[in-house]
Amino acid sequence: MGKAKVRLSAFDPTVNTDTKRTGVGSKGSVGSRTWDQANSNGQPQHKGLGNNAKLAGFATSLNFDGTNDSLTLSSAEHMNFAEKWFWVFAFVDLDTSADRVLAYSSDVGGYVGIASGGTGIIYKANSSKSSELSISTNNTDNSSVSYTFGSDVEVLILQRAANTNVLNFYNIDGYLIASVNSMGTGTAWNLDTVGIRGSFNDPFSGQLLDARFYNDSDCPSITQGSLQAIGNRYKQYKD
Amino acid sequence: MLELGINTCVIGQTVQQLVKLSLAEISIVDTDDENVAVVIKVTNIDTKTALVDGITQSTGAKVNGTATLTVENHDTLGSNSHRIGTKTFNIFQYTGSGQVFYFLSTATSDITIGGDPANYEAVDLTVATFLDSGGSDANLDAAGTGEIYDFDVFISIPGFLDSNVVVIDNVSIDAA
Repeated sequence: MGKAKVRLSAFDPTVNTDTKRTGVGSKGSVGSRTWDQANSNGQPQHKGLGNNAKLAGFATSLNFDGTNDSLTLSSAEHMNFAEKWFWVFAFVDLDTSADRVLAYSSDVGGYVGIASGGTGIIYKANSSKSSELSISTNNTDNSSVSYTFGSDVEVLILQRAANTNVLNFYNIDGYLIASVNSMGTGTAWNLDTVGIRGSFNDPFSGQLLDARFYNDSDCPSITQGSLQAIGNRYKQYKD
Repeated sequence: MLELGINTCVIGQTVQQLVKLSLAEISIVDTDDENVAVVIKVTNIDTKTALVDGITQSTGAKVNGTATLTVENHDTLGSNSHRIGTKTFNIFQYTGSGQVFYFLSTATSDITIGGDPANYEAVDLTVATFLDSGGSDANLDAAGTGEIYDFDVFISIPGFLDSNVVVIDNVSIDAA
């Protein structure tokens, strides 16, 4: 198992008061990249230690206001269709009153997020010919469990094998919650944004704990144990 | 004072039981590859008092005692058996006074945890000083197929009985 290419980690033990953030360094393996937001009104707020009762006292988080908060990577990360993808999002206090975008590729408009009600996932392949898929997770049609995202600490994992349109999604327990053919043949992503798509569409409303984007040989293995171990990293954040 | 084994001592004619230290939890709260922030939670009043006795409390202050950390690399996908290593760390205040969280580091004096994450992601699983039961490098790095880890820790302070062991199992760690 390798290292995420790019990563937005909200962990910062020195944040004691709520603070607007930009220029957050990516912890990924490629280059010295930062997560930026030039408009101070659109900067997510780093929550101070102890300011969220759902989180353990050592944990901090990045609050996205559900209006215009987002962060953009200083240089987009190309996710090739011929490579495996493995993306991990951990968050808390999700507001499920509307669709919520987690990650976005602004060049052609691909995105992934949580559907309104927390009952599914929204995904649009990064292709001008594609349209949004709404993928239900609150049934077992293409999964092992029925799952609805709520306001506690949650994890969404997106996994795709090389050269395939099939996307698999897993939750904090490492369970497969959806599998779908995205019908976006050959489309790569140029991942560059977390928390919004386009001009303030489907803004994320919640507190991000971590977003990790692996590709190619650095992807974690797809075993129950490995998936559960990833979820366990974030279960510790629960108070 | 005449010591009578590990559990009791005699002061004059009074037999006193040594206080056993107590840990509540261990958490792996942040990682940068195999550089891991290990935080212990202490809620027991006697233990908190023992840790900070004589200490000027502040974030990053080195407190009394040591922590013995045992890490197990499951290596679930490879052909190797589990690898287990143990190493002793110093203990530091994670936040200011009156708090319950402490983190582990090999540093020997007060350190700053702002700015450089390396100061709190201070448990490096790749170092050869994590020793196996034979006293050799336990090879705990996450390269290849090592990715799922267990962490066990207890603390020791002179004049007290070692604490209970607290455990967190099956945590994912990235390789560099």
